[in-house]
Amino acid sequence: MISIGTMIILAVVLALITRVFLMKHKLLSWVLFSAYTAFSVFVLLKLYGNWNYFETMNLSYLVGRINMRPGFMNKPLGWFFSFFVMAMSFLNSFFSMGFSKSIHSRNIVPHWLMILAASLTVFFTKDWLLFIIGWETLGWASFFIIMGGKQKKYKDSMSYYFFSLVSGMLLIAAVWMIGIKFRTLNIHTTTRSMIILAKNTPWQAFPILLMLTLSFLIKSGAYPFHIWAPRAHKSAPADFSPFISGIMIKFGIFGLLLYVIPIVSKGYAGYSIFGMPVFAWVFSWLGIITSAIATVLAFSENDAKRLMAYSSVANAGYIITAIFLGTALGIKGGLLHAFNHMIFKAVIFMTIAAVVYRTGETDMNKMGGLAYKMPITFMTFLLGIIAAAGIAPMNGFVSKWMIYQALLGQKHYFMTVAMFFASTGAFLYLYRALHAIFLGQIREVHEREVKEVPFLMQIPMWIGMILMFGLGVFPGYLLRPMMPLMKTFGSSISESLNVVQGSVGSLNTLFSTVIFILGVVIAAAIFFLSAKTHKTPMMDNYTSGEDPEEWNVTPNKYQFSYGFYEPITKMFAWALKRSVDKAYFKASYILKIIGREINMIFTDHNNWGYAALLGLLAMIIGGLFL
Amino acid sequence: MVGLLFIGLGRIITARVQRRIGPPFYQQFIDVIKLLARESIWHHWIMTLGSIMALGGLIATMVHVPVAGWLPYDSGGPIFLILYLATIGYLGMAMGVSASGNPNAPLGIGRALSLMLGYEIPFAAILILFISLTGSSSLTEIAAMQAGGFLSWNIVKFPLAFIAAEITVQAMMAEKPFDQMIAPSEIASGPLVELGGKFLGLGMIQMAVAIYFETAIMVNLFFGGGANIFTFTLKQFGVYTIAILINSVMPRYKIENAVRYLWTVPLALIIIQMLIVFLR
Amino acid sequence: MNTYLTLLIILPVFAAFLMYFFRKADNWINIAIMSFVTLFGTVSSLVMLFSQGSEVVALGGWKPPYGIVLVGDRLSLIFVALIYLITYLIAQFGGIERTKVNDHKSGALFMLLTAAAAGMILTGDLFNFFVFMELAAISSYVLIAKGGCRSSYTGALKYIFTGGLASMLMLLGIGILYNTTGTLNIAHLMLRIGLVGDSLRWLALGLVLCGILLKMEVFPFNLWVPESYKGAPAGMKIVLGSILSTVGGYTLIRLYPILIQNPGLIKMLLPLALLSLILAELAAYREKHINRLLGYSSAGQMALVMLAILFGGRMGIYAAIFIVIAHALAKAVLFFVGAHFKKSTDSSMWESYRGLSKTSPIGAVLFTVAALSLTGIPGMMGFWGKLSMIGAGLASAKYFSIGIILIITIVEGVYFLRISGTLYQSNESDVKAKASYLLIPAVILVLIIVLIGFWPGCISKIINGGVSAAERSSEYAKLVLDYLL
Repeated sequence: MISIGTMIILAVVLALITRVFLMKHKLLSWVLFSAYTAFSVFVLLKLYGNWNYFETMNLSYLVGRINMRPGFMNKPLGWFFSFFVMAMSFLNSFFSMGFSKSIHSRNIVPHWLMILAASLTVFFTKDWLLFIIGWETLGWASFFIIMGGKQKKYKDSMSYYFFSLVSGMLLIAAVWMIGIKFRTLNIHTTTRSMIILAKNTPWQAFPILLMLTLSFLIKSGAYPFHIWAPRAHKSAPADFSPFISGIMIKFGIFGLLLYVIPIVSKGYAGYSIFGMPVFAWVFSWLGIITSAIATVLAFSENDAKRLMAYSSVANAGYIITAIFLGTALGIKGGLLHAFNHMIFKAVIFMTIAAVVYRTGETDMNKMGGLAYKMPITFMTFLLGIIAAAGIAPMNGFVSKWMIYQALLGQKHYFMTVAMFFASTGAFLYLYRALHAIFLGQIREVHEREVKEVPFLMQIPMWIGMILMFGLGVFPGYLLRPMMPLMKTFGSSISESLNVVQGSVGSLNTLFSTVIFILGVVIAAAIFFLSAKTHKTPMMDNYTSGEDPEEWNVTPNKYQFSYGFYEPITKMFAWALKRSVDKAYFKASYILKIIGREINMIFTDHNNWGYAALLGLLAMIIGGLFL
Repeated sequence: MVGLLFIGLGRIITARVQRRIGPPFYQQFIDVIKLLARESIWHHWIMTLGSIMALGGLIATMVHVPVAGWLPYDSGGPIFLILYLATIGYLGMAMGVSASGNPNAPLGIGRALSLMLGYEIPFAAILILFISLTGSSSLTEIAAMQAGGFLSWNIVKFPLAFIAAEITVQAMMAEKPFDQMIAPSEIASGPLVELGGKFLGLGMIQMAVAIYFETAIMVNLFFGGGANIFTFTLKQFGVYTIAILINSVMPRYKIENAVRYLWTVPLALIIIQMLIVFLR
Repeated sequence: MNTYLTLLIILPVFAAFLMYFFRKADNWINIAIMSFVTLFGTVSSLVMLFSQGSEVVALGGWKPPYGIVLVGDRLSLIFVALIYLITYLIAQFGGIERTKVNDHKSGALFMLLTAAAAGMILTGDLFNFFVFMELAAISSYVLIAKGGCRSSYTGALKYIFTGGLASMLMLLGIGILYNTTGTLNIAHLMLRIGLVGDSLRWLALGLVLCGILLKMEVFPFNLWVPESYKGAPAGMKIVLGSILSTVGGYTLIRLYPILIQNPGLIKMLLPLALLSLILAELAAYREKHINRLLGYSSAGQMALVMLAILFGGRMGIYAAIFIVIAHALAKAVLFFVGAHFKKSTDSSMWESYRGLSKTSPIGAVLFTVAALSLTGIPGMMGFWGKLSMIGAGLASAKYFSIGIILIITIVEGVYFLRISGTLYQSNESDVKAKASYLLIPAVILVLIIVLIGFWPGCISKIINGGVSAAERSSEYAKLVLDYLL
């Protein structure tokens, strides 16, 4: 039995090897990466079901008065997240193997391996110290990857890193307070102690919980910390974007589920509102607000990656809302949506990366009609956005349905309406992306040069399509293995393959899909039984049969893409004026000015007297008052 | 089929309101058959895919709406499934016409989607109101809740909600003042611009099916479902008539005004209704 | 074994004079002398360190508390080893190129500086400490001024003024202490400090602290920092950053038992340390000249050390020692690599280092690792220090300070990684890497940093020994005073 510790060390070693020796050999690096992820999937599969497994490493740290022996434990929550991380990375590796031939690609394998090592650490750790170590490592490893994108500028990456640092600092502070209070850093024990603490003296538990929640929310891109998401997505290398959107946003969710949710749902004896502790209610609403704002921001977005980034943020919002509900259904819906989102978002980003591979563009206003040249990519993207919009029969529908059920079950009607808004809005901007990139009229330059992506890159797309559809029809394939996971949250409903239970209804996915297929068959029958059709090139119809070349002019191409939803964006213009983005800019600007002024203190020769005075004053005042 | 009949009758009513005689009531059938029999042009297989997907989705939706308490299989008339399956219909149509290459099509789609954002919200609110009352998201149950005669119909119990729903459904069916999607004089019929022959035929069928199940939903929600198929159909027609009547006399909204309107007036009505219900 | 302690101080002095005799010879003789001496110092101090004993030497046979003693207990041995290691690396690699700067005079002064630094650490007598401090200071003044650019003179001048002032204050404080307690032996002082009246004690300690705080680059005594760091020649920069500040840190840790007896003093010093931290890091945030930036960073880190000591407790001292060591190592790396970059690009503005990762990939990695260590990223040594410090602060309920520290860490992380990011940007220039030998010492140090980062256990025993030594004044006193009686 391969131990988790070995897997982590293996990843680090591989990362070092690739970094030192293989930077120039991209293909080989990706093959290595692929092998590693496949191997870890295999190891993980072996570990499934073995929930009492734990291991301790032979190192012993003395941190303060707390003696720690770091170790790993195999719990369902960690297992699932690890499994998806590894599996999606594995899929992605095929894609990257093909992508590496493009001039836009950089060798990000070493850092990605570090991220995988850090993920394993975070997901399986037994104690908080390793958690912190993994958390911080995620931060800086991602910094270098995100920076390696097409622009190779670090500003966007820095934005991400800043938030990662804030999240990390909050985490360290919270963990220390836990350690000091409970004299141990073992996650298991501290969860139990925390529940007791929250039950008896909620005021003491509150600051710690708040810090932890904020830390995890920052990592998830919730409002008002969502700034880094679009920037990081845009700048990251195209084949890493699937990972960012699918996986990295989920680390925060993992943290919430690991520690905050169990405590909030089981024991928090603070004030209650609408049957939920206020703490949870506030954050549930925060999730909704995040979705709403992200959706609105997505309407006016012209860059494909940024648009999808906002979509990820919105989906993270749904998940946050669902899990803070605290009910088994809510957590199940949130978790299922998290996993589904990992799949469909990764797939969508892979298609975008495929477009980048062929056209070098992510600006949607510069594209159009690519479906005619890249049919597989188009189909994948189509299925992806159907899933993302939560439309049957794809997997996104099942999880969204569950979340609605969870909300309604707890009688949160306003939240449901708001979520509807976000959901419908999602459909809007996703369609816009579909149209602007793949449909409509194609540019001449693309008409000439673009063809479908190589087969190697298509493999994950095909697999993704099958997964999305399969899980949409048979959600049980995911829900069944999740049963032990749900047990840790107190729910022991046994899942069937295709019927999903909700709180105000139930859903039979197999039947609905069959009906849908029947409908399609009927429609197709009507279609094909009617008169025959006649294919003509698009321009003929458009130019009413005239041939512009006859008059030495080129056909007037007109792709409607810019300002697609101008009416809606106009409506929201008043809200978009005050953006959190600008607030951050202002803050950083102020910081810069302060820095410069302080710089002057040191270098300007005349200021000594003032400086000395200031120091003296500080001493006196501080001594008197502190 | 019934939908087509409705449309035909609708045209007569419109005409009569507009002081014309109007075509015979079976005109719509003739139109569809004619269209289906015509040779048509297409530009890309996506157009075909889109049309089929659209109609397929709409048919699937229709199957899930209980008609006079009857369903092909016992799905319970799940509301969310219905809503989302309908969206597939939309998506299919949108995709198909986008692939036609004419920019008027996506113009229309963009408007249609914006409008959808507008009407989904109040509609969702209405649905949620009913779900909260029955504790179930099944249309059959909501219909069953109204059993027991004329006075227990939801239209009587929740009149404000009904008015709000009417406005919303008006938008759903893309009738004036909410027909920005088609807007014949503005954007050359929008999505329909490149559809010819059997595509257009399919499109008409799509419209018919949509009208059918939209009115059916309304009947289930407000008019007590109906004991048998005849009363049900009659009620559906009643709903449709109201829509047509409004359509024939009103001009068109601008999109932003339409969305704003949809978000304020019906939503306000529903909120008031909810408050009344909850505070009682 | 007794003689080794003495040798640690005497040998470099000999070397200094020796170098004067060889002044007409080639450069390599200078390097050989210096390297031999410092290598010897490193090895012997490391051996003593790991052999778990403590040594006390009474110079001249005069028994304490009348004579001067050299104390090599667990704490001082750590620091002596650290200092010698870095001086060895500077001696071996820093002076390979013979320039106007690296002549025999600089070498001699450098040796004197080493001797003085070792002396400051090993001595058990307060006045002796002062003497060595002055020796180190004077050597520093000259060495800084040898930098050749305008800032060298400005920096050196500022250092002279502030240093002179601080020294005088310190002398005054020592005088008061001598007057009231009658002894200059540190161990004896620890026992007798209670004899001094309250307010007088405050005054005396405050004055003595002035001198120490100057070395530790605490505001408002750190106005000399940016210019000096900028103007000093490359080797001297490392001395400033890694050695002199370390000595200051050591002294503060040593005086910890005396400090904690005056909680009022601690209360007064805390805001000063915080202010120093904030100002230093914020100034670094905006700084474009890399050496000044590193100078501010030094000041900031030393402020962190001071805060750790002020938090108190075993965890606080542990953190302080750890951070001092981590900082010394990392700063040395940063300066070595920085010198390499400067030689390659002829510029000291970090913005012009864009894309240097292509020219000097190892250099970029080394820089990044050291920077990450300073910020406290796990996997490198600095993490454990920062972690312990935050724990210490929370344990003593100093939440406000911890909050500030965490915020400042974010600022630190941003500006360091900003430079790192610049290094990795794409650039089409063809800069040739020069003076790559400067990277060798950096590699060695980085390896140490990473090793301890992943496995702090390997030195935790030693450090814990140091912590105990620092914490218990009675033990120290016993060690010193009873040893020879």
